[in-house]
Amino acid sequence: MAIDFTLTAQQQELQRASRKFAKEVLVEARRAELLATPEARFAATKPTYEAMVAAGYLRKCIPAPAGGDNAGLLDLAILSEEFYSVNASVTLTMLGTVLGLLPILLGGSPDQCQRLLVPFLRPGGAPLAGFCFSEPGGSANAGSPPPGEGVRTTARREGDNWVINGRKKWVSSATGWDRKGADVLCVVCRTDPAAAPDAAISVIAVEGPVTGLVFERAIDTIGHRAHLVPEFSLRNVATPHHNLLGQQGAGLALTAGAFTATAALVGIFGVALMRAAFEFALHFARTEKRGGVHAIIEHQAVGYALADAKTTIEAARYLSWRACHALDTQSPAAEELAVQAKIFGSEAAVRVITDLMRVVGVESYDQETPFAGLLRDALALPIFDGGNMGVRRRQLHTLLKRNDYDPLAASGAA
Amino acid sequence: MAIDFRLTARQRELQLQSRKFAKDVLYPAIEAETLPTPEERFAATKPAYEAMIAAGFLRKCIPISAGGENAGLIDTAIMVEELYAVNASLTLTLIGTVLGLLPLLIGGTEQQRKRLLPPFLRQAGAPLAGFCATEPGGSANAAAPAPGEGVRTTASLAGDSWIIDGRKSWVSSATGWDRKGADVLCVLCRSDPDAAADRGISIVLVERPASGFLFERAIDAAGHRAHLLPQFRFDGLRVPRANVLGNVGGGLALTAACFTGAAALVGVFAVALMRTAFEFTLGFACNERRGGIHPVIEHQAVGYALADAKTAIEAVRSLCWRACRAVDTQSPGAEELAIEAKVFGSETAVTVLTDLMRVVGIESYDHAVPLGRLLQDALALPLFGGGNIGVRRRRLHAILKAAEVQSDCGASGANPTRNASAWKSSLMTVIVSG
Repeated sequence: MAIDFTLTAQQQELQRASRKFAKEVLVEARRAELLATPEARFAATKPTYEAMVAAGYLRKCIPAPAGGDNAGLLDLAILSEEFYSVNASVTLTMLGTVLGLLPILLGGSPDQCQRLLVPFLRPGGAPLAGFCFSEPGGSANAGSPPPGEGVRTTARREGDNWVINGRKKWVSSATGWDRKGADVLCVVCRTDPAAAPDAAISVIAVEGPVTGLVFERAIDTIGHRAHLVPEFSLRNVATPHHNLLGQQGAGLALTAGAFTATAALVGIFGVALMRAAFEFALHFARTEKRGGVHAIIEHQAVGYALADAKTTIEAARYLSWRACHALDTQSPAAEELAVQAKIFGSEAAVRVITDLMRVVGVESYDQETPFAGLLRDALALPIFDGGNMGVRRRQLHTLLKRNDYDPLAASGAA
Repeated sequence: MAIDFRLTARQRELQLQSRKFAKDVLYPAIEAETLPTPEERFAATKPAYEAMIAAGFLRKCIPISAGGENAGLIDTAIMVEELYAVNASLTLTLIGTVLGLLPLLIGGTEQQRKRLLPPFLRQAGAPLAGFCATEPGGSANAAAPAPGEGVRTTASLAGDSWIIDGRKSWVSSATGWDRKGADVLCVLCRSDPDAAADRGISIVLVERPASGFLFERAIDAAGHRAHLLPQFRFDGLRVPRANVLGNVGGGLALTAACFTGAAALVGVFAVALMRTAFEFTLGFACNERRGGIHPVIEHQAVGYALADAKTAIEAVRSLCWRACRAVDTQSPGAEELAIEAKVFGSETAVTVLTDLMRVVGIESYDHAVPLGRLLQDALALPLFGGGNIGVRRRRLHAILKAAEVQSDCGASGANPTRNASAWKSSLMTVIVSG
């Protein structure tokens, strides 16, 4: 162990294989984004998603101790960068499923893991999971005490069951391929109406098809056009009491744990989208003269804009790697670095892609070039998986306020 | 080997030792910055510089292969972050001397190194070296063909000697403790008046004492107040013909190689300054109420500003380590990453320090708190070691234009399997969503 940035032979192979799969399978699947309705677009990605699962990519996201093939978040970062740079929608469907499983992987008992993970470990089918956190009306203040609403969805105990009521929104793939629910939903709900937020909220697993799940609509999103983000109700949804994940009442902590892991990956999503935009812009600048004498890269303004974009991409990539490594090694600084990777990578992506569009000029406004699609995908990064304003920065703010916070801890230098 | 961010036990030891030295010796030496003239300020740092040398910090910057103790640029980065965070002036005197030795370390012969390095390897005295590249009138276009002036200082052969004539400025410590010159100067000069820049420029060694070396003035710099940045002249200065470093005419390439390693370290300088400012501002925000009910960190605007600053610091540190590691492993991405670390780190430092001053408010405008001094130090980072506009970005621009460099994968060690053109055509076959 020493500071190093070399991929292992196994990681290089993962990178190579992922890139090949992305080129051969995921590129073509972007055609799904042309269809008219969100549900038609999502449905059209099913064969591609099945191919991803059949090729073992979902297994590659599930940790080895839980029966999968994943050796750490760094491996996931390497895989995600290759996939996301080619097709954000389908990649998000897979990683949204991983997020949906995270409460089980992080908080579940061995029995729960064994029981609930089975369909996701088979390299076949199109299994989906969703982490049902966000609600209509907003969930940035889920930890609010009264009179703030906090988490509005409730679960009450009836015999051997929890009975869940409420509405959820923006949950990747939550209503499944058929509006009847994903294979597993991890639902954040209030299990104690009277307790303080840090003792009142729990995460409960519901297995599909879900009786009482009422599909309301599929959101027609700005980007990730072939990914499903529905709005739906849970009406008297019954699930066995042994499906409560982790400690009863400790749901907010489990939620924070799950979102910390994915935050580091959102940084990589930013890298992936910037990388795709940069490759195109660089090639354009080297080959296009736009009526002038020289390729436009000879213009200093173009060269500098590209240099700045590339600089930002490299900074975002290594901060994200560092966050993933911190999570893999269970460093105490992992939360800080993961949130920073998310904020920096996501906001950089929107800015850099916008800047690269200016390099290409009006041609970038044509959907035949990838910029608009990449920018629309990037627009989600600062606002999903916990909006930067509402949740992620508040997490950092809370860290900074702690008496024992040491700024050097994040670099292992305290 | 695998991706990893942990310090070795030896690096951790280096970090703690450097931190302790910085606190015990470099912190009190900041006092020197309050003296009225640049030369007085520099002179007042001499005891602390001697203590740095005696404690072995210069040896720790010189590679093991050349007789020192340095195992790589990552180690230098770890050490420099600790020292620069406390005293930029003195640390720059040390690192400026290392830069002054780089042409010798990279391009010198065994015999040249044996002759000139011993004073720098001894843990005694106050040895100085300087890399004399910059000239009055600017050196951002050192490689310009005629009628551009390019490098104006000349070295002409007369028998077995080079005769050097010209002026230089902004060279760290170049005129030494007594105006008579640093122990070793590596001077960039035009050795062939007719050849193209890539064959007509050489680096020539000047050893102290030398007649024909003339101090003109010590620049009163905006920051690094106790570091010496002189302007001076070579007036028919004569050195032996054997004092050329590397190939005659290969001076610009050697210069670029020296500034690549230095560029990665400038990123670390930025981390160091931001880190000190952040620690101060965080302490201020957690303790000061400024007349209100709560410490100011309870205000969301303050918390967010601090969160953004810390995010930027971690991003810069990660990129700098990546660049240092690439230089250490002689990765083909080393030049690109080093310059990116320099550009990103230096410009981020100025932005972050300015933002942190706004958090503290008017109190930050008082030299009794460190933010003003740190910002003054930071202002140099985008301008020295090659100004970001003039030199560094142009180098990145050149890399991007080079046909053999492919896509953005090169610097991350991800071997691209297709070039940008194949990438474009694969994307163009798909009409993206409407």
